Amino acid sequence: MPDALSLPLIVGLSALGAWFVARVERCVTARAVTVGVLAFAATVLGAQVIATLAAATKKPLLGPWSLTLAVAALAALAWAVTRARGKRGTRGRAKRATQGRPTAAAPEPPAAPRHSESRLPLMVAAALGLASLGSGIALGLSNPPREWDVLMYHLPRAVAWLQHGNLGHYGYSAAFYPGNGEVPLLVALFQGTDRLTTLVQTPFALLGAVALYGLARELGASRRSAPLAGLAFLLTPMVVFQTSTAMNDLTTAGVVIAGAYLLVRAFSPSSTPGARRFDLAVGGIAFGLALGTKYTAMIFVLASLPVVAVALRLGRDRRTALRETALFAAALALPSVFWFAQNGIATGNPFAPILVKIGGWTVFHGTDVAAAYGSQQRVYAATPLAWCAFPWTDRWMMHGTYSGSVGFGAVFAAFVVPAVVVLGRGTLRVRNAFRGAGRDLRAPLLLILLALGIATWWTGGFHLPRYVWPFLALLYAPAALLFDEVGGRWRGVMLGLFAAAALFSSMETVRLIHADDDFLWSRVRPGTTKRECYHMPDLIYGLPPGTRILLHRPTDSYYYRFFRYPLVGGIPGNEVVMAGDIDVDIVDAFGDTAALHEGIRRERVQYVFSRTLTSPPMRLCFDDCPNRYRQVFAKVEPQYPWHRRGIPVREGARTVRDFPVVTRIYRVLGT
Amino acid sequence: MSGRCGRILIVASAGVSLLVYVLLHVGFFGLALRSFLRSP
Repeated sequence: MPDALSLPLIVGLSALGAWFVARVERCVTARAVTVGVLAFAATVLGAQVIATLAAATKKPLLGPWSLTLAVAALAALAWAVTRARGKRGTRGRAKRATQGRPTAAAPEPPAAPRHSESRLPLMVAAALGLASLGSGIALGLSNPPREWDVLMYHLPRAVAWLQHGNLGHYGYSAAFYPGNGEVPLLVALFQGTDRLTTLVQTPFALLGAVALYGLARELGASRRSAPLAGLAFLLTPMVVFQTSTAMNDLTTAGVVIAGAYLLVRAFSPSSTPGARRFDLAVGGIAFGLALGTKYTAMIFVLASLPVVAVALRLGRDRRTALRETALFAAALALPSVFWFAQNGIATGNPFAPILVKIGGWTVFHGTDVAAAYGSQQRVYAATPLAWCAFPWTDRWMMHGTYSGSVGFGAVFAAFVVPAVVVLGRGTLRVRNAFRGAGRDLRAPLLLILLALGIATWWTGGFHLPRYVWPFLALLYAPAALLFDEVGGRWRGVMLGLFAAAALFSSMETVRLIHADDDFLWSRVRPGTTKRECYHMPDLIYGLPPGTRILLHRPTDSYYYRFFRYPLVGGIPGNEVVMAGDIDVDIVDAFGDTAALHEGIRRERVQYVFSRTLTSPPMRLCFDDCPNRYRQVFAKVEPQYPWHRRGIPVREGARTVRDFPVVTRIYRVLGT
Repeated sequence: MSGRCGRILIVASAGVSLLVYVLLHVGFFGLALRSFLRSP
């Protein structure tokens, strides 16, 4: 049974256990990041262990109290292990006198006299950064879950786990995606309401900001400049928007940045072997959490393994390098292998539903994602070349909260070019980094990780801005170096530019919020029903319990009539979701007409829901079979909300304004 | 990036980037607003 107490207990106990482990970190920033990473890992691992037991015993074991107990057990284990280690003596981790040692890429600049610098720009930027975070939280609290991805598979998946008491697969292809990002949703749903599900990503905005501060310090930024890296992250419109959503891009970004920080830190010249192994392990767990959260991070995370192996081999004997590489690999696998093993057992494809093909050889059968969804990028950029300019351009998204905007905001746009210049100069000096006993691989390692991230995003064939964002956000760290580089009165000018960019970024965020469609402003008020939130046709609420519904081509487009989440509901006592109780089985349908009709017959479908463009496939499917299907609901509506704003959006060669949208419900006769 | 030239390069590139970004957005917003006002 959902229980409100379990949420604070799970969060508190996982953070406590993480703190026991993180105590060995002397640096406050690294300790904070370690606590964030390990607390998330403890929650995820607890759920995975219970789900494994649930699968073995075929009992619904995963619930609020079992997860609380699992997290408490992990915390107790962390306490016992760290206490035993403490008794054997500390590991002798060398205290780092200065966290940000000078690097080849960024030598410590002479500090400007403090009295000569106005604090006003920094205070303005800090206030705007905090206001941005606050506005994200306010948006989350004042709105229902509302993004297509959230309503089609993130939340329905967590609801299914809640209903079935494990982390299994339920009914649709997206249920096979790695699910670390949905575990916090499940914990939020333990409250018995979906009110807090929109805030599950907020901690990851803070994690990313703190990790960027630490990363900037590792690269050599001063204490005065490094906070700008974290602030810039909080001011990015995408971060503000995702702060208030139940998606998983901010989760991925937070753990990728945290992992990059800890990995870079592991290669600090002042790091002792014990400290290096600790940072490698926690950094590996952070990357493993990303691997178990989103397939888009998979190639990057797997490619980081040989990079780390090579970096470890430089200056160490083969045996030590191998041992530490194995440690990193094991850390990667720890929070992620569950999902791949579960997929492998259920479908034979660990990466289900994705097609894995090497050359002409199909390793695992599945969906060719690039072919199926790659056209989405047209919504964001008309040509691949447009991506070169995208930090400086902006296009409205289908929902403001979905990707926020293509542009990363004014702060990113202003400082990315000089940051790349500084990084480029660091590249020229990379060979120096490999020389001598005090070699410093931090800047080269960050460069390689950044390049790896962008390359895997670009070659993935699915160039959505939110997929590259975790990697591009790493650029905020070297951007902080700029403020030390210029020094003197120029620093004041740079800070003024930062404050102006922060102000413009905030204005952009506000503009994008207001530019969003009416749906975003379906405010949660006392008594708001699911029907009012999601504008579902009344007919749906008259369907008897157990009705089998088919969602026809559910990924065709981004409309908000037939989302799965309002249909599955299933949270007793939820004042938002369950006002219009319905109990249905839902089947997704793809494929050609014959396959569709066969599926309807085999699955004993009673109703077919469709909301498509007035394009031929729909008519071919149903209108030519009047004896089997009776249309019981139809409504013609204009295309995307931004159509009203006169912005033509191109799908293929034609603008979508040419196509009105028809919402239809068919009753299947004779079932 | 030591030296006066380096500092000027950094500040100028940041300033110009920000200016380009702001101008593009103001222009884009203006176009959208005009289309919106003209729509029936």
